[in-house]
Amino acid sequence: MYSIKNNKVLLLALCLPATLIVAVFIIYPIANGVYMSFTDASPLRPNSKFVGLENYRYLFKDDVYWQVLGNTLLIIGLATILAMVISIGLALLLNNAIRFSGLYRSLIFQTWVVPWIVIAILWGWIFNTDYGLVNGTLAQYGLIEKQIDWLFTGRYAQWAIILCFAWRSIPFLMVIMLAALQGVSSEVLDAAEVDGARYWQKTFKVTLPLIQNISLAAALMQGVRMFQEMTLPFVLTEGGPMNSTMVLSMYSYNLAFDSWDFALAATVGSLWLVMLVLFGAFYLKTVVREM
Amino acid sequence: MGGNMFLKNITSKALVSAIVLGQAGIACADSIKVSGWHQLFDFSKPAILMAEKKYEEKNAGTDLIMVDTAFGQALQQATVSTIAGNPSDVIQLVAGWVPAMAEIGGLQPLDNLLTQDEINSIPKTSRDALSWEGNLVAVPWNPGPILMHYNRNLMKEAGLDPDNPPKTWPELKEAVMAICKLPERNGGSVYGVALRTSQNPNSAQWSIPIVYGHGGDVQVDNVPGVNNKSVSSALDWIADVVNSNCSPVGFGFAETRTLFAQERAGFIFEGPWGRGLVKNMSDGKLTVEPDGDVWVSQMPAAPDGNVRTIGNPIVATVSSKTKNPELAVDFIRTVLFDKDITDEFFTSSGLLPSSSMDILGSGIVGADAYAQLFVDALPFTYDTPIKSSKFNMIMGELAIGMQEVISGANADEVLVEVQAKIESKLKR
Repeated sequence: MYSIKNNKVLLLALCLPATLIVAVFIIYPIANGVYMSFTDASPLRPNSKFVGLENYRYLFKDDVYWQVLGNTLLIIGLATILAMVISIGLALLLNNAIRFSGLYRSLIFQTWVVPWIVIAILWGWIFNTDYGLVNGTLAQYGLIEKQIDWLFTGRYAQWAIILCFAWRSIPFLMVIMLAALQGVSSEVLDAAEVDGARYWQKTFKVTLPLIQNISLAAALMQGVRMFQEMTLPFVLTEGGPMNSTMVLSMYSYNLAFDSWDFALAATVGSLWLVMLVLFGAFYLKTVVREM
Repeated sequence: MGGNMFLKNITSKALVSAIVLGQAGIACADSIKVSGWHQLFDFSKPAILMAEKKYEEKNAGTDLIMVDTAFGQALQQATVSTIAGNPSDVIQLVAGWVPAMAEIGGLQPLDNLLTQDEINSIPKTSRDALSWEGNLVAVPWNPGPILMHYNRNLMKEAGLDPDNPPKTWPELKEAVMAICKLPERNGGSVYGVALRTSQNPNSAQWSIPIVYGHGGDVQVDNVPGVNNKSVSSALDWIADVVNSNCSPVGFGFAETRTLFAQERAGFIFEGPWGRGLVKNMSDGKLTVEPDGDVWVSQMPAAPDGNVRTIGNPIVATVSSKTKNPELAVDFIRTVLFDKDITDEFFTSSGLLPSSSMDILGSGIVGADAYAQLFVDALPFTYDTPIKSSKFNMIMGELAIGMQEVISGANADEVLVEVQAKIESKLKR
């Protein structure tokens, strides 16, 4: 029988385009970024030189770096957890064949299609001090006497960004959860029902454990995706007040294009890469169960 | 046979195409690329189209290619394309970006490309601000001194004389405090002044006139220095105003402009674009006239009586990588010194259309009272208040310091830290 494995030339030729694309557009930029983190690269210098671990030492001594790292973990961690809980809830609702579930699914998914910049502007208005929906609603019910500067008060600004990140992540996670729920065998659920399980028992003891791995993998993907996102803090708060909403992506951008410190920006990126790789490996090893 | 015919056919078509393209190449022996954002806006596009036409008539055979570059991406695009060796021949920038572009070796000295008369027609302070290592590397296309715009209606309502705007910083503070006692309007509080206090570097840049107004500077012997008494007093001034609810907290340029156009702020610091902004953002409800709703005056004076301000001009530069510096600079010459083009620019945009005092002091610009207040300010306008390639970084650190002082921290202590951070990053 013919097997492509026997035709080494054809095999190589078929793999080459994809390998080249990955090498040029993924491997090389990553390798170059890591290399830059060991140099003093800056557009302000004609030639860069090797500086060893100097950039790493500088960064570890910098209070702002630790503050930004803390902000990033807090914002992305809470946003991912919040988005997961809401997405699973929505997916369960839509999976139960409620009326117009197809319409609701489409409507919720629209959020995924809207560009980040539009979402940032929309949430800017929601939290606007004078005309915002949040202040307006709270004032209407007498819950606040004075308007709150949501985006300019440290803790509130962080929560605004967390809510916004979570809101944006819900459609993607919901679609994955829904697909996972629809993949749960009806025989298993019927068997549970025969054993006397009620709806909530079936949900928590059978359905959710069965989709656990898919949910956790989706959460990981979404969390990693949010690490790269800087539009929201950039437009809503510009990283402020006092760096309270500054996240790693925006911090490295500022280092590169405000300080012209490509080396330090690359160092932030390299540490971020290592951190995510280690976290991903740990997460997949310990949290995702062997089925 | 069929294959031969096919090859013959292709070869002859390729030959004809090559000849046609070759002739086109001869007809357009040179091309000049101009990158910028002026051509993206309806208000500046007519003048750019006119400039394009005139330039190509004057330089027959030269193809002028306009490269659309959004303002937000302009600096990154200029630096990255320069480093990559493929920048446009003429690059539109703002003054604050010039040191960075000059330091990466991206700008061509203009001293020998423009005539001495042309150079001398530009105010000396502008030339000094845009010189790098003794060479003029940029010229202001649209000068942008920042002056004090004020709402005459709010001043009247607060019992102030709109024909006598504040002349000193204490007087301005009194006026601000009086205006912010006015009752709510348009669904929100009325503020005395719309100061920029967001974390954007631009907010700190906009605080520099207040530093000047407190008698000091943000650099000492050409070295960035924010740890001094005048910066500390300026931050305290800002914090006092903000914490008295007389200026909004955390606003950037967009929000402050909206506030002013809604008649919810008595004062705002803006450049010559202020008139257009007020008219457009208020849907034509507000007039900008000496006896209208909004008018403009020089910035308040420092205790020694001196008036200084910053400028944020749009500038034109020639890339150091251009193969045709003469042709490139001729585009700058065309837009800056051709009266028809500058008139068209001024009519459609209201911006100062040139840095040539001959153009600014005569014709329709010379007859415009609003424009002339900005022209009068040019001799004491500092377009690069800190001549550093890391200007944005310095301003970013100062902006965070400003927010800390507004939140109640001691200005002197904050500035020690800010200065240390700036020095640490400058050393790198």
